[in-house]
Amino acid sequence: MVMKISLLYLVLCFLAPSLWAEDPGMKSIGAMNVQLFFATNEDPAAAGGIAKRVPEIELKKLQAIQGLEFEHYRLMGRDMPEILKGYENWATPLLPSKEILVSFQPIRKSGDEKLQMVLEYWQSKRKVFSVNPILTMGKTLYLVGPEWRKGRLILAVKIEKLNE
Amino acid sequence: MKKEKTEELFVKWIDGQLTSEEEVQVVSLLQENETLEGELQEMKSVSGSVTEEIPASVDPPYCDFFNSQLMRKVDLEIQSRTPSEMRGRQAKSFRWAWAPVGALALVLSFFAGHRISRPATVTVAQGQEEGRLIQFLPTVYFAGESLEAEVIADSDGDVSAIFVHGLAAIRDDIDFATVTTSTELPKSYARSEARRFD
Repeated sequence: MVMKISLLYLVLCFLAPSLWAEDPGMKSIGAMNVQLFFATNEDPAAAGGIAKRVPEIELKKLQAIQGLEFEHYRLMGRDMPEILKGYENWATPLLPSKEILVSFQPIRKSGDEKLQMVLEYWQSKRKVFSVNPILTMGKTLYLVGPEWRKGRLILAVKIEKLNE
Repeated sequence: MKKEKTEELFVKWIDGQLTSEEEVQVVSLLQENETLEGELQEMKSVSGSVTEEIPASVDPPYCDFFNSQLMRKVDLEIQSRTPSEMRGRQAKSFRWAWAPVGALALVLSFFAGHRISRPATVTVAQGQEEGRLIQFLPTVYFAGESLEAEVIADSDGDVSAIFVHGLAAIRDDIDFATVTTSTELPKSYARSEARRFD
């Protein structure tokens, strides 16, 4: 009996460090900034009460997109999730609604400011498309998405922070 | 009687090849010297043991066929040593050299084609720039629907916008200010949330 207890104690001693060990995949390597805009030539009030005015700097960037010429832009929501090194991460820019979701997972870091990742666009709980761009920290990638209330929804994805 | 003659008689006696005259001689020899009989018996036992251990020679089966094949090989060998055949054999022995020659020709033709296909007006810097732009433009993968994507790069060659055409419009009655969790969320999303709050 004493022998069995001793063996069990020994096994627990060996296993204990692994129980408290940190999962390296859970390490945060930075943060994303995912915004959802509503662009329209009609009355922007159609976006509803959650829509906010777009800051001037952001507005200029939106207006500079080739082939995208709308009169009004509104910010529908924003999420800034962490980028976990080894897991799929999610952004919910329309909270409390989860009609539009963005998942992203880092693939490869090149240099201090570039990160290739798999971006997936989810609409109505269904994955619609995925893309694997190399994102540069601070540069926004615009995903011009579906139509809604006589306008279009535009996702803006940006690496906000990238740890060394 | 000479010793050699005696031994010859003994050998014949062992092999059972004595003539009647020789048999008489052997009997008289044994009568003259009694020790010879013991010696003779010993020789006979040795001969018997050797015969038991070493089997008698056997003729090869189909010996005619074996001999004809052997002769054919000999003839071929002789013919191959004639001057014309020797040249042929030398040519055959150098066939391996065609492999590296072929590989070299392929490499040369690749470089020749590469040089021809690139316009002379394109500078090295321009070529590198094009390569960089193409390298950074990502591919869009759709989940089964008939969608199209237009990828736009900025002046640095980084992707700046992706226009997705053909997406189903979101119903106008959907209000993003309300919670829409009536349908099940993606399982991977639920797993991620669970991980976050662990």
